[in-house]
Amino acid sequence: MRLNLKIMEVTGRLLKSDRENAGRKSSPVAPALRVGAAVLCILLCALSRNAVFVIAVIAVELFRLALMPPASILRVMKALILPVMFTALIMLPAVFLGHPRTMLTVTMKVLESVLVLAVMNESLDWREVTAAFSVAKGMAVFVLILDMTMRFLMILGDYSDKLLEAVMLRSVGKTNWKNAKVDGILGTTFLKSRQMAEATSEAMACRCFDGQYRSYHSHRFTWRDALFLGVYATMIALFVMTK
Amino acid sequence: MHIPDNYLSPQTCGVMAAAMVPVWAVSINKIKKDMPKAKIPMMGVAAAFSFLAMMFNVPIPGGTTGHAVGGTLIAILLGPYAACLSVSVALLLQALIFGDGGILAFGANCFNMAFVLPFVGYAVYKLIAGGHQKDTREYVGAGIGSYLGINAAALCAAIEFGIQPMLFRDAAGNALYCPYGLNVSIPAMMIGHLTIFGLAEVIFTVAVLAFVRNAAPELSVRTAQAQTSNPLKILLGILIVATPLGLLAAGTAWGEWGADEIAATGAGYTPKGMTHGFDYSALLPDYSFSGLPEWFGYILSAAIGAALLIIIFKLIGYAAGNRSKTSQA
Repeated sequence: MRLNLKIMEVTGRLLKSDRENAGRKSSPVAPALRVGAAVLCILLCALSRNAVFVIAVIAVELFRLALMPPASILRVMKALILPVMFTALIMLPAVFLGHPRTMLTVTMKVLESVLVLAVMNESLDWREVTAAFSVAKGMAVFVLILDMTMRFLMILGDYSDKLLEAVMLRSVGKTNWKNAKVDGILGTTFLKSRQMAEATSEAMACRCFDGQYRSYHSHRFTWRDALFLGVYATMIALFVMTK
Repeated sequence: MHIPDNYLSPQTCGVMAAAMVPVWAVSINKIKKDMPKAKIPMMGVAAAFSFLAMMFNVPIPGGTTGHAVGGTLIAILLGPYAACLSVSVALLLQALIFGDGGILAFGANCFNMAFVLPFVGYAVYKLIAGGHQKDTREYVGAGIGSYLGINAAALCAAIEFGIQPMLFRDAAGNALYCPYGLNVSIPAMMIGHLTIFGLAEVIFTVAVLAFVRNAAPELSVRTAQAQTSNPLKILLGILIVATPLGLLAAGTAWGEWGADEIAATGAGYTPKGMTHGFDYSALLPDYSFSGLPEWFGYILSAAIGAALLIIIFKLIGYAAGNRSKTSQA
């Protein structure tokens, strides 16, 4: 239960940074390009049969990471350590079975995927990510669901955390009913979520929000976009060449 | 000048590493005391410059190659203690990830390139330039300092190579480690460094120093600015993309042959210490990837190396800044 809450805390950070960075300058490269490139990189890395493309992506992302402020670098590194070590541990038997390369390849792929997402997460706000998705006109429902899910994960996570806290405060000594009441907490959280969904729907109606996201921030194509496109186009060419 | 493993006896390596321990300790103390915390990330940028300088191999007639180190440049900009640590970390990265320079010989390589080179270079620079900045006297001082610095380092490396056959031989009288004595190693190392490689170091040092003084003043311990400016980023980018130029120089540097090459260089045999010596396989040996053109592997290695160095020093600076904040509170 606590672990789940920890995960919700991480997703919550995504939205918190949204509010904290309200006055931040928007990303110099179009968010849609960056989200697209990140998804494409992860996909192509999963498809690639050799380490070349993966290392090329790691090199580019590491270089982008090196240009970030130290606090961001530290957050990205913290996000990297656990999955990479966990993968290396899981893949360790491959070394004993005589395939050390397999362990290296899989670990590098995990490192690459997490690195790409963590770097994107550091340099893009959540509102920029939703704006990036809303560029595609047909995806309004998808963006709405994604946005709602992220926000409610945080709110409901917070709510169930408080409930759990209350139960723990009221329990003294050795009792089994604490575990038994986990379903009670989940049930209450579910009921609460239904109430909140209704409230959200009413609030949407009051504000004439029909679920269509409109971006009022127009992004002009600059040389930075061109550079970004150039680097990623080269990487895709590399993928095709080394296939 | 990167001495590979098994060219020096483990005893020599041990002595050199032991000699470096107090140097590192003093350097770390000096940095802690004197270097502003906001400037520590600049040591990473400087280390990245040194790392890239070492990738530009220059050929000389006779089939051997060499490169600039940039230690004097870092010493001039950030002080000799910072130069010692920056070059040491760059060398560690080269040894661990790219297999350039040995793991056992790390202490010896650091002694030559991270201790002798920057300190000699900086002393000569100070002697000539004094307090002058941004004028001919400073650039002349930097040029002569870097030239003498790299030659002093090369001489140390040559002596380390040359004393091996005197000290370590097997029953048949063959050398156990480096087979060449001082009479061969000193001329072989010094001819290259007194001419072309020394010149490469002078050009690299003076050109980058002039660039930094005019366009990127943040890469100096005297300025307050701590953000990496765009000209510096562009220069780093250009150096990374240009690293394949270092591949034009065919051949291996003197004293850096593989165990399979050494017999053909004139020794006539492969020393026993090399055939049965310490073997470490690096992640990306010789800055190359299997199945990829050499030039592309070189660019990727340069980008990964430079990025890692900047990240390492940024994190160190951040941690040091946080610690001093908590101790003040």
